[in-house]
Amino acid sequence: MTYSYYKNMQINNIIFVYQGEVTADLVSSILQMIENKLEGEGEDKKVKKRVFNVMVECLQNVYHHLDALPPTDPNNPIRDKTALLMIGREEKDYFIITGNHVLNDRIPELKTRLDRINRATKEELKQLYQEILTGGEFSEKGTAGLGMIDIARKSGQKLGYDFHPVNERYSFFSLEARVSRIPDKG
Amino acid sequence: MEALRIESTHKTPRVILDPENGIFEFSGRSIPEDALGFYRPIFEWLDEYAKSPLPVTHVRFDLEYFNTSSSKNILEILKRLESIHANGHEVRVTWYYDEDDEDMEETGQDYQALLNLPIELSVKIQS
Amino acid sequence: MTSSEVELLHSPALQYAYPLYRNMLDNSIVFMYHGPITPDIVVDVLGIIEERLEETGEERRVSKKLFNIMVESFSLTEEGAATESILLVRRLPYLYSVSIGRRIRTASVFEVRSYIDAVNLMTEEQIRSEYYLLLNDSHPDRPILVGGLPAISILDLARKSCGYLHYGFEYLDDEYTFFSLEARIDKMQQKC
Repeated sequence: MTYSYYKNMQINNIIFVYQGEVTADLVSSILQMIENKLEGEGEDKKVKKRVFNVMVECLQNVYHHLDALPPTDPNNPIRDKTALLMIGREEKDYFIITGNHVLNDRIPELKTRLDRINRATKEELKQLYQEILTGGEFSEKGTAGLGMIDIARKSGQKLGYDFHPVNERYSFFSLEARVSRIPDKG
Repeated sequence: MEALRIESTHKTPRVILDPENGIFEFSGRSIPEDALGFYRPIFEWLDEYAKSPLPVTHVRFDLEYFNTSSSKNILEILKRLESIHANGHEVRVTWYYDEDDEDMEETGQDYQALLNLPIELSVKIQS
Repeated sequence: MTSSEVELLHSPALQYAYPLYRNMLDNSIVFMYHGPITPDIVVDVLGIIEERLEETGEERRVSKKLFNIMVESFSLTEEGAATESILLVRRLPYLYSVSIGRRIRTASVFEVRSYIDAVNLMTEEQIRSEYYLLLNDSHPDRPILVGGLPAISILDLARKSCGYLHYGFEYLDDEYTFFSLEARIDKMQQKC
């Protein structure tokens, strides 16, 4: 079994995967680890900083989302407080993927928001951010709304996403942020 | 002889070797990048101390975790203490371990079995 | 959206996210690290595990054991910044398991397999004797190796865990073979 994961990690250029509950301290430890890993990589300073900042945003985003959820019903087969964190490095980009369960009825709203973010220019993103910040559009996950914009702004690339149906109530939502390894890009 | 003081890092222990009061302390973690580089100065210091040790030396080990590479180096330290003790200069070692850490307790027992040195096993008070 | 834009939004890694999540869940894997192993990374990974164990309210005795096994497992990984080892931690109802995986030279496979088989047949007494022998060996900086792996680490894992070490070999090419070793902890008792 170990070998099949090893092979898959190699093929998909994945460095680190965590599956489980996400706490503030955990986020802090993971960031520490990534920081150390980046240090050892001889990556350009600007790239390192950018990757790290995007990572912080992604992890915070998932953490806030999960934290805002009501306590898990022990009878619920879906472990809605757990998340997937995946970090990888390809030739041109680093990628950070976070995954967590979302209620199916939230999907249209999320899709709309993500598509809007992806269509926006740098300036438009900035405006969008201000808009939400000043109270134009507060959902019950106000901070999460800003979070995704932040991620998009800091990464300088479009956000990838996927909704995988799990059951009638839930789907698994994966979000991908990419950070270029080329210092001047983004 | 001057005291040896090494501050701890997230992967190496705190080491205090005080020749004036005969109090030695090793605490923290030990998973050094370069184990020999870290421990060699300690061996050298102990060899020097062995030339004129105090009548009684108290040694305290209070480690959180360490790998087998460090176990070997710690054994080297203990062997030097053993020889100081064998030469008539008493050395008293206290090996602290967390109550729930069976492995740390066992390592203390290993050292007791391997050496002719008074090693006392002591449970750490939970803070 | 054009088809190239759709592709952009569905990178291979992204497509792999949910299957991986499901897979990990099904195999009770709580943590997986794949990459270079340096002491700094070790400390950070241990920090993550420590957090996780605290969160799950695991019995302290078991947490400490798991922790110590992880510390020693790292001694078996390929060291250095240009290497790729894999570490898996699984949490099952009655046990924890720590697996490490790395490449070893294909020429060493027989030696490694024989050694682990021998250790698996040893009694507790024998393991302890062998362990003392290796511990006492006079050059801490030149450990005794079995196929490039520190023998004492293998013994240490056998001692600290259930006692039986599971292993696997996957031939990659004439030069390298993938080797994995798994140590388990029975939550109820020391030996299982």
